[in-house]
Amino acid sequence: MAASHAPPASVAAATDGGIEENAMAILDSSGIKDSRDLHDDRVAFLEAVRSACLAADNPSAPSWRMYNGVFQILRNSSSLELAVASFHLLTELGKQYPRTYVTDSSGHQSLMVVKECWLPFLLGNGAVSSEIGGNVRSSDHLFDPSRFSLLIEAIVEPTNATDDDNGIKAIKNMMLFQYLVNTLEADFVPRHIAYKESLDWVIFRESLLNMLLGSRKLMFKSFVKNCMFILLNQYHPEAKDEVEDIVPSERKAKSASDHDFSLNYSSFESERTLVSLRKLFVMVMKLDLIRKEADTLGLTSRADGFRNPIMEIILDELTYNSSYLSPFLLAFVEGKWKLEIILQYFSKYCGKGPVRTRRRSDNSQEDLKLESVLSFFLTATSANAIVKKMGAEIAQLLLTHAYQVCLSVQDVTSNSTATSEKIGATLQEISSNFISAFQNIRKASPNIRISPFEKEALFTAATLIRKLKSEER
Amino acid sequence: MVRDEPLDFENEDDPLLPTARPAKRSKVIGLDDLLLDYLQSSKKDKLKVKAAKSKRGPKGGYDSGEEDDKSTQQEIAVCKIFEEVQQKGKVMDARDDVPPWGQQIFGCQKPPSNLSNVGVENCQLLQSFSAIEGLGFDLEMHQGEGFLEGMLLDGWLLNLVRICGFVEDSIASWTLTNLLHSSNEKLQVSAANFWDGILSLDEAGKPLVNLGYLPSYSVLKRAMLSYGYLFDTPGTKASASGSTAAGGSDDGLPHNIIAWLGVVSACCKIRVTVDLNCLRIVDCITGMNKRSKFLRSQVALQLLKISFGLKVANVEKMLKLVTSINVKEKECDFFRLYVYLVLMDNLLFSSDAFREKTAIVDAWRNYLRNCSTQIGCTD
Repeated sequence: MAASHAPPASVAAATDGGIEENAMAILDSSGIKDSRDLHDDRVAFLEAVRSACLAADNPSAPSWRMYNGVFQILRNSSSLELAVASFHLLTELGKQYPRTYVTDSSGHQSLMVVKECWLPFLLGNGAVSSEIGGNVRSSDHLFDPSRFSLLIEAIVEPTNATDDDNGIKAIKNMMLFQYLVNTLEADFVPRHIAYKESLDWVIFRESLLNMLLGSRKLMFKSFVKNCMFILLNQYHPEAKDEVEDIVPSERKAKSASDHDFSLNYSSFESERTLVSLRKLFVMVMKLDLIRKEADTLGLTSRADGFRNPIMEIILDELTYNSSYLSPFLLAFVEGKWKLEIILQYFSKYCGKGPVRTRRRSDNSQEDLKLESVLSFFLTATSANAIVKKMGAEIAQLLLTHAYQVCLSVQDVTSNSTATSEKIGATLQEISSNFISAFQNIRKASPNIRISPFEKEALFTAATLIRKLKSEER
Repeated sequence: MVRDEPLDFENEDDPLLPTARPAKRSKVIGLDDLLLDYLQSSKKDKLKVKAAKSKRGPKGGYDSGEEDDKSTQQEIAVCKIFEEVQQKGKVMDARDDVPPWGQQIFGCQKPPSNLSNVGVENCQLLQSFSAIEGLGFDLEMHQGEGFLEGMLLDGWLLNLVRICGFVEDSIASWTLTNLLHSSNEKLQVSAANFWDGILSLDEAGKPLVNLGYLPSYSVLKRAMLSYGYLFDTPGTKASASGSTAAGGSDDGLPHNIIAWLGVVSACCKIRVTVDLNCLRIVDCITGMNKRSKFLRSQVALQLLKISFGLKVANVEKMLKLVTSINVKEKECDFFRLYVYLVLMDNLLFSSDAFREKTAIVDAWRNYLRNCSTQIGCTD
């Protein structure tokens, strides 16, 4: 989003004047014992930063310490009000003073990174250089890779929401996660733009996302599993019921207690957390593709380390726990990547040759299109062979989700071309092959149950075929 | 609404006006918009319906004056109510700029009558099922609505309609009913998505779906009534306050109000023709207090945005576009220009928001000066 920005004002600006001193003085808690006063001070500090850095006639960028102070409030405060206020302030500051951005000079786009700009992450060698003005103590609450994965674990853990403090903590964790993902994205998007032009792997080697996930301090596999768990929990019936019970009572505004509010707010935040999670997944998938590209071009070195592609981990999880499949495909709404996951899942079972080489450079794996997957189901015998391997119900489920992606990319959007390549046939062909695939699966296992979702898909396909045929005439 | 506030002199000054006033609440902009959206959509409905009836007749355009008169009557009636409210609001505004919080906008909610009998089971889509063979399952007619609900919930219906570029009237009205009145939250959200989808425009600014059915004024109003919206007209005030004082357990914000707002604003995003209607809409908002001035300015902004295809992000860019119209060129559309000028004028000078942005105002003045010197009297 932050595609092209004017270079931000000098980062040191706020440090020069007395603004920083004054703002930081507000936070000085020596001599204050009442927690109410502390709270008010923090509110005043956030206000001061906002007015100096965003609302002033001539706003200046926040200094490292000011930024840090705001983030500390988000991390440490026990009040929802402060958490929300600091979250929004951080978000707006990030938009106003981007750390990573693209400059467009005479049609050539180059990447700019304000290295000295404050970051919520602690990456690389782990020490903040002294000229930034922070000593080691002031950075010990920043997120290094292991703390980032701990945050996810904390979100996964079922919190006892009846406890008010716990409720706020859960909300705060979700907001922290959203902010961190937004920061990763703000760094990722301009790099992606610059990369498209230069195809320079270094751009992504230095990306926050790559440094964060490539670190040995983060167990990537369990990290992804935890993320998937959060996504899957969205369709957890108990959690859903609880939320639905609360909503109507909350709406009877007068009787709603603070407790109800925080629970209701929590469900709102968990929805946004899911959005952030999917955003993160898509970014990692993109990063993995770029990494693969760089690998084949020989641009990576041993220093880049090795990390399993996220797709492999997801596929493994879905293969070993087939009950995850349906909720995951429902939760993961990003069509292009959903189709990719489905195709790769099929490719495990529909491979032409019995031997799959470990090396990926032969490109055979990527070439599997939905059209060719469907063609495996065109005769009863071949359908039978696959169904025996992967299970009839799973095959139906995957095909149905893939078909839904086909339908949703049928309008003229910018990135649909790449997806239609993955589909590889016209809608009419796909629709009729989809129906005959179901017929052949049923021949292979006559007693199979067709879920309502699949029935709706079949009916849609049949209606579309009629419609498209009548247009031809 | 019966609250003991002995120190509230605002209320004591005017004992006749103790009840909720739609235009005065913390979320006032939302409600103002709501009313305005109301006007716009009802107008458009009428226009669309007319256009559909007179099929390929001369559509819309600048000669739509007479037609408009009829279609705007209803709108004007609402406007009058609106004005009265504004006037009353002004009285209070003069003394106190702080809007009172917690005012009750919605009273007793009652379920709307005769909803179940929409007859969607008989729609062509479901009827066509019998002609399809080999799907491996059957559909009983009485399951029709449930099946359709599933298609709506899982997104198939929207996909189907989008690809076909056409939606049956019965299905459109059925989904709208779900949107407005369903108490099933998921169904309501899906219906809202559906309407959002079919009301959106493609890149060329054409509607994605050919709609024969649009939410009509009466349907929207009936929904509002069933939500218990307190239409704050002088006549109904006493009864309204009476009913809310005795308010049943159904008080509180109606569940479907967000969807209501969503569909109405989506309706408004369908391209408005640049004609006198735009100016009428702006003119309808006549209040003199801050809020209605701001509303007028914002409405003008939205109309300008729509006529420039929603791609123009801010006022500066819009100004650039308007001022880039060269009045010396032969193909310069003076009528369009006139509409732009009036809208721009409303946008900039209705409210105080631009008083301090001298750069914008100066640029605008320059352009006006140029216009007045360059346009010949004959034009």
